Amino acid sequence: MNYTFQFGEVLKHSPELMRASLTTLEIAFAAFWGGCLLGIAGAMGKVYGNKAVVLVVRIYVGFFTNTPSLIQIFVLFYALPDYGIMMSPLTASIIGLTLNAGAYLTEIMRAGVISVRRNEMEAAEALGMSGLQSFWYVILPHIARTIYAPLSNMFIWLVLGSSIAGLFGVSELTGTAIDIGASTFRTIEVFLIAGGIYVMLTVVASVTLYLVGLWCFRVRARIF
Amino acid sequence: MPSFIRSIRATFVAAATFVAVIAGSGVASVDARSLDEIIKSGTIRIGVLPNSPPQSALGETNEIEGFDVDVGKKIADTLGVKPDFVMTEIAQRVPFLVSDRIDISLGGLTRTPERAKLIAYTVPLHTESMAVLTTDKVQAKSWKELNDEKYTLVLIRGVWTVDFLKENLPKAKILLVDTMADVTRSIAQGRADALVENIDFYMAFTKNYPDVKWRVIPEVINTHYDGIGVAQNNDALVRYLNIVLYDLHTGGFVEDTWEKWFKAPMTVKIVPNPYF
Repeated sequence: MNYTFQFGEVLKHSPELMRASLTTLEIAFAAFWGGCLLGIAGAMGKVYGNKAVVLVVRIYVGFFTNTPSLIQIFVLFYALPDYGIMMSPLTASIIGLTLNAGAYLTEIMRAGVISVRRNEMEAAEALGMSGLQSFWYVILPHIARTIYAPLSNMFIWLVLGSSIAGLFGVSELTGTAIDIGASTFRTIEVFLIAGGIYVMLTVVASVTLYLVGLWCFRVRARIF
Repeated sequence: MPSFIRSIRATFVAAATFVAVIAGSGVASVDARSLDEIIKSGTIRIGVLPNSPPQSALGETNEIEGFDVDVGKKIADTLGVKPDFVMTEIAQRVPFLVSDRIDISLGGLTRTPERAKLIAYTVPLHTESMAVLTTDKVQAKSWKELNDEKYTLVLIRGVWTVDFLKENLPKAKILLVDTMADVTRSIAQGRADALVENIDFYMAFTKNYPDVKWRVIPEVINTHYDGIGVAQNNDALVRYLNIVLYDLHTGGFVEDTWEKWFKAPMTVKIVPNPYF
């Protein structure tokens, strides 16, 4: 009763897997940048906002860090249409992962924001910088150096976490692997290949992030 | 050597080792449990769908129940062992047999030549008749009329019908979702227009949307036969189950149990044959 591995049938579907990999990256990039914007807004709100803003940020972070992203996307995709809001599977997945990443990044970035020393801000003020200039030239570079490694990890997590979109009909890497497995019945082989592609994607992303961190921020991000 | 190069090398070595171990385990067989081993163990592991009423789903007492569950219990009784129901999603039915996670698979396992290359089947347990479930918003009178880009057909990811529809209704768009509940929800919310499948299994979920005017196109597209899935070359178990199934069909157990759960006779009945 030997199970004989046969990769030939699955390898015929390589172009589909490659196209799906691009969708995986599309979801990861969109959710990452959206999450970064939410994260920085949330962090600034939590550190510098009034009580109402702090409460709103706390509720947001509390909800999204204490529920699985599967449930968040499910609500966006299946519950909102009953209230007249219909999204495509890809849009719901990206928004869900963005909100989820934003909540985690709020906490990560808050650590970066509070690491900015008071005398740095005083120096910026003494130089006559406006609030926006202080943020752009002082706070943001400081935060970037402080939180670069966890930020990189978040991107890798999103590359892998985007597989959840497959459950909502998005043909990203995992969803496409399920489809190919269902039509060829070579499920083990197709998932081994998909796993290999995920390794390639995360290695390339990790190396890129390492080099960007080294050249732009002089940070040696240990992201493996 | 920079640290990140060492890290990459380590990652690739780990990945390659993982693949080698998995592939190696394929060469060194995953042996399915024989009939003797199942009887000696006192338990038979039966794969059933976790959320697919009336085939199998958690009932009011939070116990798994349904047509497949009754059949599974009956098979366990004849063997003199206890049934151990293992939840297998649609796409997991064949892999779970191949990797010896279950001894037999129920869950509406349609016989197809592709699957038969990987697993063995018993004689048919029941039939599946394909039809169209839609709403009053769709005016089509025949399933062939759904071959239009204005229609979106919804299916569960992992069913063989995906390829059937791509071949026979190539112009229609296809939406793949995760569960039967998601299928009917997609149609009710207007995300999809119709389901072309064995609709008997989906009707229970339409009750979640009583305001939707559900419509079944009265046309049987085709009929397929569902056997019990068994690991490839587990011949003694297949032979045993064939005998049991012949008795269950001729004794009326299968038909009675079907009507008990589906509230209607099987559309195309199984004709038991003593020669197999």
